[in-house]
Amino acid sequence: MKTASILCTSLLVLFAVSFTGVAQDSGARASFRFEDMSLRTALDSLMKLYPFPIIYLDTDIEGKVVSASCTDCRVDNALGNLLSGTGLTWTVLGNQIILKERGSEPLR
Amino acid sequence: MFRFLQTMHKRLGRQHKAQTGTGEIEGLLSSDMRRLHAIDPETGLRWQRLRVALEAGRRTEMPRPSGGKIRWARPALSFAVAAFLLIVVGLVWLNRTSTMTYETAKRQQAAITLFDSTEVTLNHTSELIVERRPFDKARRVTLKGEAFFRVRRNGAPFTVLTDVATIQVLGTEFNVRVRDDLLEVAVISGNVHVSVRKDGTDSMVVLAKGQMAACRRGGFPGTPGPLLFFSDYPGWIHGKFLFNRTSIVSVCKEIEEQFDVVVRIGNTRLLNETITGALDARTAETALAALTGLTGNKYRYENGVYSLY
Repeated sequence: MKTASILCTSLLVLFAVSFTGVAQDSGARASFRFEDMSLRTALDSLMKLYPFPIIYLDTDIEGKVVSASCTDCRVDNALGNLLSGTGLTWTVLGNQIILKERGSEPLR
Repeated sequence: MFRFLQTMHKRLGRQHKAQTGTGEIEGLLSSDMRRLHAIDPETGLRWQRLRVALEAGRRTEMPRPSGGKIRWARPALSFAVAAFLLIVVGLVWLNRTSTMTYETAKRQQAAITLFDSTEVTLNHTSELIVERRPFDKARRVTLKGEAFFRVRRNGAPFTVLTDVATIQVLGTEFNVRVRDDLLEVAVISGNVHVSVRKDGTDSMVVLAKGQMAACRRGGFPGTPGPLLFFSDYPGWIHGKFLFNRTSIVSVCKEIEEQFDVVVRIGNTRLLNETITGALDARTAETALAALTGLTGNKYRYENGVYSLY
């Protein structure tokens, strides 16, 4: 009985540790404030703040200026704030974050 | 029985005759000796002297064959000793001056620890030649391809020779990439000197932490600029491709070299596009999925070739 309870406790602790690890990895948080900054520079900063690969077409962001701020927010909130009003959206493919023009047609 | 007795009788008869013949010869010799002794009383003494002289001569001649062998063996021994010494000196010389070469093929990376504890990670399709000794005093390596260096500080400069330029540091972390006649040096910590000597003119730039510079073969190093994606640099160490306004053609080439695959671009509109950012480079498929997800295209794998369409 005592052995069974120790085993159950160990499994629970192991599960908790594993779950915490995953949560921390996908839940990296950061704070930023960009004022009238080119979208390119803002994205460069964002890539330094969050450990996720972000990729975009240069033609999609050229000439765009943003102002955004975020306090202790996750990458999804940060991108939502940053890309608001730029005509861009973002999707997640595996570990990869892809920025695209909203409603853009495939390059044919 | 009778025959046996007859045979024995014949044999004994022959032996008796032979003994009789020997006795006759000895008799003749002794009579001759007596006659010669009568003529010259010192004949016996002379015979004795001659015998002694002959014996002495034999004794001096006897060791000759073995003495000859020794004379022949001495040069052979000397030759062997000389050859041994030559080999030892040659080995010592080779050990001091020879080089160690490390190579990686496509899809390969290698982690190397040098004699001074400097750590080098060699990217795919690269070659690092290390001068073996005395490495601690003049630390010098030659690089083709791409490598990330964590140089241990020991007071001696560490030099990376490339086809394009020479990079010199004391102790720092930096990445050197030489592909298609273009050198790129990026510094993660410390300072790095990039120098080129051309037509008697020296040109050098000093890169600080977080800076990078490029230099084409035959040209001089460009002005240092900020290193993008600093936390992930160099991307290949972290399983990522890092691109900065890079054409999709170059991106596909990078995927080809990294994963030893063939990528064809079937859509000509992709040829004019450039991309920026970090691409998941765990496998060729993750990279191509992200790339086509970005452009809105698709890819397929047929007969060993990835085609973007």
